[in-house]
Amino acid sequence: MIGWVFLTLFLGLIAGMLCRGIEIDTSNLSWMILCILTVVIGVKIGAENKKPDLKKWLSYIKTTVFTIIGSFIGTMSGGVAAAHILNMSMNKAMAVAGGFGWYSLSVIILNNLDGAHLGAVAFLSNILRELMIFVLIPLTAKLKCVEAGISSAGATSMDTALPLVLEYSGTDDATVSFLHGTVLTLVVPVLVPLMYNIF
Amino acid sequence: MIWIFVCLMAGIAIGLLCELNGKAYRLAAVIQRWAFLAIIFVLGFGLGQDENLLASLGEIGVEALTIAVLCSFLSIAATFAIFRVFRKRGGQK
Repeated sequence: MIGWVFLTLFLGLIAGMLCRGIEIDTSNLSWMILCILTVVIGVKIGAENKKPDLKKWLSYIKTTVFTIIGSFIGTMSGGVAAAHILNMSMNKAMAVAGGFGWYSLSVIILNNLDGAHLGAVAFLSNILRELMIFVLIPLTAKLKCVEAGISSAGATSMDTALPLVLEYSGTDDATVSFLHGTVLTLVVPVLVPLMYNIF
Repeated sequence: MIWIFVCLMAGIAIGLLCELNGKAYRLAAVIQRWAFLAIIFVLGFGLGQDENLLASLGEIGVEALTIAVLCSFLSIAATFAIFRVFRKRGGQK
């Protein structure tokens, strides 16, 4: 499957480069496909949870909390480490890291706060983070800890990473992935400006 | 974001209310796989169309890649460590 993922990504990249003159709203298109996919994922979750199991849902919540803690610690340490390695100011590196893969939002916030350069870094860094999940989620699923892959996906674990988690792990982890992504999506709009201003 | 919730809730309602047979599960698996590949294709297409993004790769690529790699790998390391402790204590999978 991973071979198909990269082949499809490569074909998409080539097709995009060849169709530069043609205006296609890719964000709308991927949004529509994602909605179809989310319905399918919902059907599976519903079909597998016909009898409400409180214990199971408590376990989902517990796993989600641990995954969020891991994601937060890892991302913030990543920001600190990157600031030291790149000789970048701490607030900028932390603000870029605080995007948690949500490139469309972090670019807007950092463009306004700092300017085009940091906005571009945030955009590319968060896109790269999103692309890396295509390797990291299958890898962590093989290592029997897909939660680690979910944490690396950040806020994208509720959209782009969701089908990957479902494909490589199953409905239980897809539910955790969705909950994890939802919480981070709510946190990012506050976290990016906060990181930029407090460090 | 609200539409993702609406779609998920609609799907959950269908899953709860309808009895799914083997055929329906197979159809769901086919839709899931093709929709997944379509999303990746569209993602690649968008990146390929963005001339500015590809042009700026050399200039800002090192900074962006360093932050992305460190955040991703340290998140994995931290979550691995947390779940190792959690699973050892709880005796889970």
